[in-house]
Amino acid sequence: MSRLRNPWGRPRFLVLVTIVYILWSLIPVAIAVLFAFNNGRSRTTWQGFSTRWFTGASGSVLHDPALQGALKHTLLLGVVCVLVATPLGVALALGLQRWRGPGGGTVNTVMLLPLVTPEIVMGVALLLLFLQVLPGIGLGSTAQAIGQVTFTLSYVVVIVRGRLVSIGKDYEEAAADLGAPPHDQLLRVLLPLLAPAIIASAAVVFAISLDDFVVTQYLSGDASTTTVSMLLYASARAAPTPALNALATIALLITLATLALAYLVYRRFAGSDDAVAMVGVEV
Amino acid sequence: MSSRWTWRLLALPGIAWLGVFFLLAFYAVVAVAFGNQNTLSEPVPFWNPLDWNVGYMLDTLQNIWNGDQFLTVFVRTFVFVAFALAFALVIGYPVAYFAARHAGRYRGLVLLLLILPFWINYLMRMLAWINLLSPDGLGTRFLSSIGIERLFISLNLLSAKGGWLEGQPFTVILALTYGYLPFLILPLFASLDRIDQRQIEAARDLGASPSGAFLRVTLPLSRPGILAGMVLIALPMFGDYYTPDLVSSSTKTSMIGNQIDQLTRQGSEKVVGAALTLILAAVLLGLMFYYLRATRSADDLQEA
Amino acid sequence: MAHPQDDRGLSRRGLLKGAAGGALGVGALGLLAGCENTTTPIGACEGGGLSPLVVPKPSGPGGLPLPRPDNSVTWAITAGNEPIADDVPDEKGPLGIYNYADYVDPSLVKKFEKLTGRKVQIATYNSSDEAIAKLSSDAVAFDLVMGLSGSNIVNLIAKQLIQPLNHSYLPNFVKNVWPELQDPFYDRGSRYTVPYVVWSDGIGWRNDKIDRNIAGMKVPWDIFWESQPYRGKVAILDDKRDALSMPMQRDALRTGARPDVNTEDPETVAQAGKDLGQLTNIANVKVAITDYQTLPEGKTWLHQSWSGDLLGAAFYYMPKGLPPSVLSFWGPEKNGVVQNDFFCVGRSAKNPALAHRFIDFMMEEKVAYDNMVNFVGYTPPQNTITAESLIKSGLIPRSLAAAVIRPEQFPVNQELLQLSVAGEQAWDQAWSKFKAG
Repeated sequence: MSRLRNPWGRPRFLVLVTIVYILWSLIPVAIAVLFAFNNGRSRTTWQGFSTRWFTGASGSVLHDPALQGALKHTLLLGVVCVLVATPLGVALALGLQRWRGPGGGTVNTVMLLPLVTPEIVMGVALLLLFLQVLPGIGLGSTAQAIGQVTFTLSYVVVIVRGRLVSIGKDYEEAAADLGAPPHDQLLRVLLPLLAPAIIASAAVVFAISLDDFVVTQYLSGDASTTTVSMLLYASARAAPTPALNALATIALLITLATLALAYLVYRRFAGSDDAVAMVGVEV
Repeated sequence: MSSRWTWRLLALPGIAWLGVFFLLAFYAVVAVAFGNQNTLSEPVPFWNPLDWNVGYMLDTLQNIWNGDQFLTVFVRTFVFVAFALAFALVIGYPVAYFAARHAGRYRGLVLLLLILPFWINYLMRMLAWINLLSPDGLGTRFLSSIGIERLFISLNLLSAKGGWLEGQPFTVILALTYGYLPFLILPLFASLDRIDQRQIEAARDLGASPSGAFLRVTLPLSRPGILAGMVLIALPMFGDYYTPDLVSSSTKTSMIGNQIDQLTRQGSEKVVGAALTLILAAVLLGLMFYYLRATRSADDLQEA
Repeated sequence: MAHPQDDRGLSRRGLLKGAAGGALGVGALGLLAGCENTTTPIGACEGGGLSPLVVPKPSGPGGLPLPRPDNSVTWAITAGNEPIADDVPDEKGPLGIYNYADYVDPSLVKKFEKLTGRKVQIATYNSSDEAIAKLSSDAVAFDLVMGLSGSNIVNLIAKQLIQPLNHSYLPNFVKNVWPELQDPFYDRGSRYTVPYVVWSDGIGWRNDKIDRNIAGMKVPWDIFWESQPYRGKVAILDDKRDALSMPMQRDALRTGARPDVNTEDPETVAQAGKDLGQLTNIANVKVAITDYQTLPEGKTWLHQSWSGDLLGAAFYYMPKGLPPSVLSFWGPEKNGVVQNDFFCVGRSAKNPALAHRFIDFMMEEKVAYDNMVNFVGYTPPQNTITAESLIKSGLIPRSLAAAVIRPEQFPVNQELLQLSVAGEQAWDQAWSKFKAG
């Protein structure tokens, strides 16, 4: 990174804009988290510090089955999504990267399309799919999981392919030269090298799944398929208590913890530059 | 060569998955849009293109052609997105520029703070803002105390004191900007980061002034990144329905996503909803493929 | 606009007959005779097979009759959808309820949970349209659905979404519920539904913010069209039937006529939509059902309301220091909308006996009373809960006396009832046009 002293004098303006932006961007969330610890029922007037909305006797996340259920269901979907999307995505990434012959470009385009499709189009498409084509599956947890895997798949592919590109073929060729059969090359050379990218993409999938709203809402079934996002949305039309802030805070902490973990793992394996690229997926 | 098929076989599950749950799902929209309804108001999809019933699609297109409600909403959506993009760019470019070129030893920290909103639930961010903008909220009081409220009232962007959430188009545009800005800053950052400092130095050496170097070197070089970033956030913005819903429950701010949501999830006109979804997808198709092409060539450059 | 049954393109029959061009054909199921490329639903094109001497009544979804006060309907119990047997023990739950948000007292739900040792899970919807749309997908199996009414009953039956009730589980029904609602015209014998609460469509407002005598106006509904001073603080209900019927009621009140809030005339409905559309410019009107919260909080000052919401606001949602007497409600004496909604049990309910038990629980005198005065504000049709006794007990502020519903109001008012498919389409179109702003 160039340390050239900027002769323009502009940095001050840029620094100001950046600071204002960061504050504008993060302070509302900080306040929302703060009010999760509010002593009273208000979400706008501070009434003292308390953890009642997290663990209190009534109305707290710990004791309100609706809130708890939503949290559990959200985490369940996240785990299922990771378990399905990651292997699928890794395999697809490998296949795409090493694709020889025609069709590779088309598959690549189809793979990238979910990334650029507006969520409502995905939501309507999946809704109609599960209502008209696959009524045997219908709406509910399964549909929600399938829907989430469908659009997180692309993230896995993009991340893993990025890593594949930087690994190159040298290691595999070396292993081949030493007489390793193809599947050994894959399992014992390539996959371990890909491990940081796999972990990174798993973390990304988990975070995206946790925060997903449109597809999850469209494919929801009965009361047990409510997620944190859906509760947050519904609360805008009802009378929320800070318990909702508490719920959102918990979900937020889980997401951040997952990402921090993945960042550390990735960094340990791959070096810090790549780690930055990992979290800026769309770059 | 057997290894050619090894790799393709690996890709097969993923391809099959996308084929069924993405492509087929999309075709379901087509089949429903060109289908009909039965007397229970359930959609009856027509899978065979030869059987397609264009009645509903024609009806919807005619509605747009005649300047009826769907056109109104489409135009309004375009306007909202355009303004939100403009605001996002005006705020996001300087921030990305700073992070890419002037952050110095704070670069890691700045990046972290810029990336953070990515991973905070969109709804939580929006609800946090709504809380602040409620009539007795901290945000409203703050904006009133620094005079912004008075300014906006005089500009007719706000109709009454404390009335941020009363269905003002401006609030929705601002909410969209707030919601999607983080997704613009990172691609901008990446694009600005890639610009070789030496090119700028060369321009300075050749006598360009600081702003000249910026306008003639940095800005043009970052143009692909700007365009790609703007397309990247424009796409989800077009389909957004929850932001207007949360920030204003007024009919004056409903976007095309709201209409589709109303018809499909909240009503009994799934056929029309599907038709509208197709029209929206068609309108955005150009943008989608532009983005894919743009990022592909960037990838190619990177691999080269 | 062309009649939907006009040929809008060339049909395969035309092709087979040698007509030029065209590749659009007869519908796959052959049911579209004469209906190619139209917006007429399948099966609705052919005539009814009725004698040409009779003007056919509009029929509802699935060709079922539309219940009206003068045309009651008994829904059959079909093989394959029979009520549960007597004395089935409670299933293990959890009991899945589908209801409007904030429409049942959570502490009573907890009480039920303690009583039965089973858990209850509630999913919410924002409008009856959304509920029907969600229920229509077979995979969604709620045990108990609350909050739907005569405007949805035919949909529920036609799409086979609910199962008949076994009244041996519901002793409180005969004991406590108003006799007038024991055998409703839309469900003779109460085979599939039992009433939950009753309400009227009216106007709720903050009398400390709005300085007008709305109840004393000749046409109180006009206040919405005169609400420019309260711009941004006006709302109408997020339900196409309730909202679109408001301009109809307004017009009728002007002339003293009786409005037909179940009209199927597309012009009337479209006009109602246009009238509502004026409110967008006049007052930047919102569309919501949270009046029970936004009125006390001052976020809205004038709201088209269901009567119970105002009482719910008074009982539960008032912020500290604000007396409930700042809320006022007006509902029409006659020719307005007074209606009840009901409980029904989902057809593929996993816990039907438990659902029945919940219904019976909610129909206990004390529970119904607590539900009303502690939380929802809607009047339950219970014999022991009379408007007089409530008002005498001082629980109801004078300004909200009209929000308590009496059984005598039913015969002189109307209900929003199920429409034919074409009728629903007309209302849907007007509504979506209004919602587009």
